[in-house]
Amino acid sequence: MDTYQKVTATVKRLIEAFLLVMAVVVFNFFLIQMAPGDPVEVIVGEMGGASEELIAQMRAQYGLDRPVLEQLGVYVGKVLTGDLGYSYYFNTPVTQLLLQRLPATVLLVMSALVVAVVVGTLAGTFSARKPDGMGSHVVTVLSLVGYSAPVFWIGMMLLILFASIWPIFPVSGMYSMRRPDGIGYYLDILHHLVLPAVTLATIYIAFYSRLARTSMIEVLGQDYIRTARAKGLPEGKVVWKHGLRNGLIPIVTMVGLQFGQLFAGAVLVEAVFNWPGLGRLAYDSILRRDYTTLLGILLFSAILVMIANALTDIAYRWIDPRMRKVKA
Amino acid sequence: MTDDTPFLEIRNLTVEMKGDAGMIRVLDDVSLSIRRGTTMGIVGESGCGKSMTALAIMRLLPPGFQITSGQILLDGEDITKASEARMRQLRGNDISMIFQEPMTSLNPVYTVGEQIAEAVRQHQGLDTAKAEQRAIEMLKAVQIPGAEARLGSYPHEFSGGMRQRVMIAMALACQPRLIVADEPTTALDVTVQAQIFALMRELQEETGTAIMLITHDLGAVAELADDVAVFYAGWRIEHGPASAILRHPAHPYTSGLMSCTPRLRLGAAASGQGPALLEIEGMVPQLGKMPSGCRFAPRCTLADAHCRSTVPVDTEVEPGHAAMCWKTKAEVLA
Repeated sequence: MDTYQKVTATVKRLIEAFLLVMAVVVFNFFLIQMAPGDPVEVIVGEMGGASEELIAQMRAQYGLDRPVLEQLGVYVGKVLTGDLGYSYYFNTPVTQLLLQRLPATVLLVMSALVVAVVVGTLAGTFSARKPDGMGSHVVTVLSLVGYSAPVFWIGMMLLILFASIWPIFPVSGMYSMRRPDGIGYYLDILHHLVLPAVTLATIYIAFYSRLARTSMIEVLGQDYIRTARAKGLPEGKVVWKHGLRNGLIPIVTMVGLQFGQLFAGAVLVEAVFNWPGLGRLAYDSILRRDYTTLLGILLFSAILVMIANALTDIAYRWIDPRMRKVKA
Repeated sequence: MTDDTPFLEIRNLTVEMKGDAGMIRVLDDVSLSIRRGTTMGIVGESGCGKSMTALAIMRLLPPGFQITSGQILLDGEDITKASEARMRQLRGNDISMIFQEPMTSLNPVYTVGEQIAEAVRQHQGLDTAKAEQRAIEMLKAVQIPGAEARLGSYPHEFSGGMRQRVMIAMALACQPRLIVADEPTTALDVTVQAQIFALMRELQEETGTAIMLITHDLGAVAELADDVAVFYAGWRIEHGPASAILRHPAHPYTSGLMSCTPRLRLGAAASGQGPALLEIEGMVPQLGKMPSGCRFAPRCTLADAHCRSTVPVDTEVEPGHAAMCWKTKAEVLA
């Protein structure tokens, strides 16, 4: 594969990604058009009522009186120039609003993902070493419970536990009222992060421990594991070096596929723990009929999922040399 | 570099498997010994206990299998009683194993250089650079062209024969005193087989390692082995010098096995008989459902009531050549 082919392949992928994003934009636009109600109704409701003329004037101001296709054309045109519109509720540009909320969500989702993959893989591998042992059964039962329990229920249980019975973790928001300076500021955020991240991670810990267990049981039965033992390597190296790298392949596949679901889970968790991220914003925007913001969030998440998939591809190649192109 | 003191001596080894109805014997009272610098061929049909013997020596029996009695003396040390830590010192360093599936026995996600070098680092405490140097030497020793460049290649970039060479390089990297080769060429082309055998012979002459060659290919035995042990249904039914066994087998099973191999029927070809391909009638008895008396009796043309009721004893037919058979004297004399 020469440089020319590499460039062509990359360009082709970028074009594909762009078209996909545009398709997502159009699809979401129509999806929201189909929902009943519009922002003006909400504003009017909050104002405590308004005259027909005022309502018509507001509809005209936001362009809501024009035909749907024209609205779509205007929106797509703006999106192409990087303008996601204006949130009527916050009176700020949506792009600015989203960029402000993005770090909190990325922090939450990535922490939950890392915790889920690391803890799940460790637990699964541990139980795969002795599939019939006591420890393995404990892991199996715990993951079954974790996998079956709904996210919001786990969130509420943790809330109850840590709000009243054993108040060692903050249960709401991302910062303390009085924000500490310097390193204390980051520690404070981490302290607030614990419960939402654990809640979001629980189901995935359970999922990845089951996946890792199955994958590692299969890998540990392979011929090359016997070869590694026959070399006189200590059991730790046999399992963690020769086994795990092969066992990780299906796990990485699932991480790529599940990133979108994790994002959806963040909406619930952010709502429960009042986490100031995109999920919470999405939830509020739905209630406020804040279409532009909602469309922006959907667009952002589509792009994030695509980035995650690209990263998965890279991770794949790094773990499994067979996925790399054969050197010419 | 041969001398007559046995380097590996297996005494009355019994291996059992946990079955649904109690323990099932897969190896029954097996004894054999391999002298330094020589090759012992282990011959038999599938399921006769050849591979179990190899895995017992490595102490890598699959889950559910265990050594229930007997000794495996490696240079005088009984390794059936060795700790797991001691076994790890021996594996890959004093005893190496070459497996029969080169396509699946190498780890797909590490370079062949790393897979050879890690054993060297583990056992000889060499640093990364020196271990890599040793890996290059080993790849050269097994005649892989462009060894330096191939060090960073992954197993999927090699053909089957090349992978088996890598396996051999890996097995030899620490200069073991015993190599257990479990059907090293079964999965390979005939031409590649010949190359691999030539390579093993050459490396043995250089390093003086003892080889235990497990095979069902009597041609390989004729080519490589100094001594032969024949296995049948968990018994070692005949053993002795390769030349003696190939010329005048003392056990009816061994002679049957040889008449199944077209190119070894020298006697038949010389006497002008047709090259009819023979087979041994019947099936290997199932594990756990062994006949009383001689286990080969149901398939044996010479068997009589005595054979069917009484387990045969190991009978020497000439110095160093013995068979577990009641009829053997008569047959050799005949």
